[in-house]
Amino acid sequence: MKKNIAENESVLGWILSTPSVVWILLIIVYPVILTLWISLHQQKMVEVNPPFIGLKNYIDLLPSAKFLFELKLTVIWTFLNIVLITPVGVLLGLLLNRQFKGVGILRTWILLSWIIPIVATTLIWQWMLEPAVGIINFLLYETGITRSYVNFLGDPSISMLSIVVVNVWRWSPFMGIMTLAALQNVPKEFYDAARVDGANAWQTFWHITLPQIIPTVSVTSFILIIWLFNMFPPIWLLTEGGPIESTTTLPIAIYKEAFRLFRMGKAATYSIILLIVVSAFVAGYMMLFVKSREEVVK
Amino acid sequence: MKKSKKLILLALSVAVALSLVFTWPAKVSAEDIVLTLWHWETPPHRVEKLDEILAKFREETGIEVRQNPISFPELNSKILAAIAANRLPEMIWVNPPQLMILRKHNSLVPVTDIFKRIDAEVQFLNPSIELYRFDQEQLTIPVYGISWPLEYRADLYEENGLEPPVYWTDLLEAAKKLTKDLDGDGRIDIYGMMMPYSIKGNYGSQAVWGFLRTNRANVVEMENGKEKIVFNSTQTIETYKFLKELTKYTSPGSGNMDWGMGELQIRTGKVATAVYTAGFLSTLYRKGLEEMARKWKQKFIPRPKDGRIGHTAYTRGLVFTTTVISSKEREAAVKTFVRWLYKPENYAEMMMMEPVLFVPVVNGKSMMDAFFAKPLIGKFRGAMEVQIDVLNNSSVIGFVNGIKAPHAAELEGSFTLGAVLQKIVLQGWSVERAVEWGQKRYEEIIKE
Repeated sequence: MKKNIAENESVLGWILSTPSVVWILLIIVYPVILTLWISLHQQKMVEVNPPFIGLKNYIDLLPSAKFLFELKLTVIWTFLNIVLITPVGVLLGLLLNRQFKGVGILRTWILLSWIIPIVATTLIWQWMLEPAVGIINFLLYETGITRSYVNFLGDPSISMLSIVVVNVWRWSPFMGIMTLAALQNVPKEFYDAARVDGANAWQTFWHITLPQIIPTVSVTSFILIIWLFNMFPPIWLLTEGGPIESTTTLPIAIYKEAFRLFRMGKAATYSIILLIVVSAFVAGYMMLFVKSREEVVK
Repeated sequence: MKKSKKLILLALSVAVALSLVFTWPAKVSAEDIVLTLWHWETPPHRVEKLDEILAKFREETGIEVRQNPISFPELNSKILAAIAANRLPEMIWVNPPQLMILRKHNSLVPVTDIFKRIDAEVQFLNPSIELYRFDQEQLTIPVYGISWPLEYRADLYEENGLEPPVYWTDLLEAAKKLTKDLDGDGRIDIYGMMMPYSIKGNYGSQAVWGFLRTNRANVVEMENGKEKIVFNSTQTIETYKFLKELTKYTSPGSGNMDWGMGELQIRTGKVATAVYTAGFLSTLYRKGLEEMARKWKQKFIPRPKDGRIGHTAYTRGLVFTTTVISSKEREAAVKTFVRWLYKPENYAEMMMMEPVLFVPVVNGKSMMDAFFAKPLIGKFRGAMEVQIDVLNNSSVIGFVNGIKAPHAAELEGSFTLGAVLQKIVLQGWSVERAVEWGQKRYEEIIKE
C-alpha cells in the first residue's frame, strides 16, 4: 500500500511540475544553449548556416582592451550603485518605520520613483540634467554653487556618476521597502529590553536593529547586484554608452554588437561571458552565505 | 491524498499544458486577410493620422491594414527577429540600411511593375528611385523623405549684419558673432551653431555626414565589386578641422545630444543656427508660437569655397516582404492599398502625419498641388521647397555615386562619424589621429 502511494505521489509530482519545467526549458535553458551555439559561429544578422569558428570569438574578445575596459566599467557601475543604494535605502527604511504625521504619504511618494516606468523617469532626468536648459544647472548656478555649466551626461569624467545618481534615486526605495519590511518584523520586546537596560539610540541601532535587518539587506543587495550587472535601460536612455564609451557597460556593448553592427556571434560571446561572471558571483555568494549559516548553527 | 483531489490536480495540470498549446498564434486564413504595415513613426499624432488614413482605406475598399509603430532603435532587432521567425509583416517602411538587412536575407519581393505604374502618374524624384534600385529591379516604392537643411534665425542674422551663410567661412563667422551672453551674467545664453558631437542616436553622425559631403569626403566606395573604406582622406581631415572650430560655438550639451535634445535647444531659443529638419516649425505653430517659427529660415548647408552642395536626407521606401506572396489574395490586397495610397489626396494626407517634416518624393503636378493645398504646408511653403531641393542633393553612407555598399547598415549604425568628432573635441585627439581611428573602425566593420 505504502509503495503504491509513494509511486503515485512521484508520478503526480512529475505531472504537476512538467508545465513549469517545460516553461523554464523554453525561456531560459534553450536561449542560453542557442546563445552559446551562436557564440561558436561567425554569425552575422540571422544568416542561416554561419561558419563554425570554435572558440575564436572568446580568444579574440577576452584579452582585448575594449572588453576589459567594458568589464571594468560594469564592475564600477555595479559597485558605485550598490554602495550608494544600500545605505540610502536603509536610511529610507528607518525613516519610514517611524511614526509621524504624513508617513503614509511619504511612503507613497518615495515609491513613485520606482513605480513610474523607467523610460518616463529617465527621459525627465535627461531633460533636467541638460546643461544649457536643464533645471539642475539652473539651480546650481542661481544658488552660486557653480559658475558655469556642468555637463553631467556629456562629460566623460562624470557621466557614469551622473547615471549612477539617477539609478540610486530609482532603486533606493526598493531597498527602503525591503528594509522597512524587515524592521517591522523585529520583536518589540528587544527594544523594550534595551530601554530597560539603559541603551542609547546608537547602541539600540547597532546591537538590535542592524543585526536583525542584515539578512534582508544582504539578500536584497545580492539580488540588486545581479540586476545591476545586467542593467540596460538607464544607461541606454541617458547616454547610449557615450560619451566616448565612458558608460559602455557589458549590456550596452552587447546591444551595440547585436543591433548596430549585427555581429551576433560577438554579441553572443559577450552574453555568455557576462553569464559566467554573474554566475561566478552568485556561486561565491552562496558559498559564503551557506558557510556563515553553518557557523551560526554551530 | 484523496483520490478526488489527485484527479482535480491532474486535470488542472493538463489544462495548463493544453492552454500553452492552444494559445500559440493561429494562422490567418485566406478569407480574412489583414495586412500589416511596420514603421517607426511612433509619435501619437502620427499614429493617429495614419489610423485615419487606414480607416478611410478600409471604408472604401473593405481591406484592413493595421499599422505597427516600432521605435526606431528597436526596428533592426525586430526585423531580424521577424526574419528568423518567418513572421515578417507584408509591408515595412524602410531606410536604406533596413533594406540591406532584408535584402541580405532574401526577404523582399521586387516591386518593379507596380512601381512603374505608380511612377507614370506621380513622377518620383530621381534620387529616391536610384537609392532603391538593385540590378534593374526596384525594391521599394518611395514614400516620403526627411531632409536636413541648414536652419538659421533670420532675425538674429539680420540684427547682426550677417548674410545667410553660403560657405564654411561664413558659417564660422556667424557662429562666432551670434554666440552671446545676453544678460551679462557670465554664461552664454545663445549659441551661434548647434553642432552635435554625440554618439547618442544618429544626430551627431548625420550632421557630420552633411558637411563631409559638401567637401566631397566619403566613407566607402566599391572597387572590383568589393567595399573599400576611403574615410581617411584630405577632404575628411579638412572637414573635421572645420567642425572642430565650429564646436567652439555650440551648446555644452552637444556631446550627448540626440534629436530630441536638439529640438529642445531650438525651441528654447538657445541656438541661432543648426543642421536640422524643418519639422519643428509645425510643432511651434501648433503650440501657438507661429511668430517664433517665422523667424527660422532654411537653406543649403554651407560648403567650402571649392566644395559642392551636399546633405543628409533619407527617403523612406515601402517594401513588400515575402509574406506578400504567400497568397494571390494577399498580393492583390497589398497592391490595391499601394495604388490607393498614391492618389493625390491620400498621399497629401499621409504627408500630414508630420506636416513640414515629411517631404514628398513625387513631382507630378496633381500630387504637388494636393500637397501644397494643405493649409499648414501652404504656410511654410518656403521651408518645404528648400527641403525638397535638399532631398534632391543628398546622399546616405554607402549609397554615394550609385554604389550600394553591402555593409551600409553596419557602417551607418556604428555612428563612427560622431565618435570621431567626439574624440577630437572631448579627448583632445588630433584630427589626423581621430580620422585614422575612424578609418580603422570602418575597415574592421567591413572585414567581417
